[in-house]
Amino acid sequence: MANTESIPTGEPTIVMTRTFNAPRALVWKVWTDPAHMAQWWGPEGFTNPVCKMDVRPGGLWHATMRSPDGSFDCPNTFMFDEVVAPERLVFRDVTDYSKGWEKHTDIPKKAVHTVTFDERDGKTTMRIVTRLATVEERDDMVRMGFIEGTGQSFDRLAAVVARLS
Amino acid sequence: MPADRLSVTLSALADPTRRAILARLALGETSVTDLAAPFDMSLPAVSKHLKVLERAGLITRGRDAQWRPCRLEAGPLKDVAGWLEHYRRFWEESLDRLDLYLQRLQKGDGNDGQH
Repeated sequence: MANTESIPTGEPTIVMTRTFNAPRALVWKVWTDPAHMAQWWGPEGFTNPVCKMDVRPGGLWHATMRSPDGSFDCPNTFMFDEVVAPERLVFRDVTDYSKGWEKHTDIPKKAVHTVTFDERDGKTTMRIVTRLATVEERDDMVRMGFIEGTGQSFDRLAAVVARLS
Repeated sequence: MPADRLSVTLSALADPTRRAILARLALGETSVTDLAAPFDMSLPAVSKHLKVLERAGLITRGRDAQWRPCRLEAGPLKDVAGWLEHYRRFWEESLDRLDLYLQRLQKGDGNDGQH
């Protein structure tokens, strides 16, 4: 269902919602199973020869998008900050851009994405909030994630976010 | 100090008072006194926020020592809007594909698109 809505705010943030004619359990599955994710992630025509996910707080998600003509690959690493099945995912870009992909784009890879899933009458409404983060904020989060690992990291991360926002 | 320009802009935008100041300046250039009026804070506190905005290139100040009106500078905000627009397009295209993929999966009736 192509009823995406973009809501501008005063913050460096975009908010989009879209409703899918599918139950939430299925939408969650295609988001968190790399075999499914590889089938739809990225712009039209892109493929994902690499897609690996460790779906838990502090876990990493590696995805390499290949351009439609195969001329270049875009390797990306994301880190999950929050995983609340089947309703909420928060992840951020932690790609090491010193490795050369950045030359393909001047787009800052500092976004934090929050995706929430709501089901009503067998349909799932997904809300995506993409927020640009500063380098320090991102690095703080990554450090916290890696140091704290899983489990307790969620509370610590939430505290960092509260302090920064 | 943040090294890159986007981080400087985002740090400046992180504060709701500073966003409110920018929203006010979007209506036209204004003196510090007028800017401070709607806020429950001292002039020095407002000046501090203005310095952050000025360093980020989001505002400029007039040169006249008596009347140093603040003016919104659109450049860094346009950069942020442009980058957000990139993400919006990325999501739009991915979500179109996700929509089609979900339809295919459900037609496959539980086969998860394996054939």
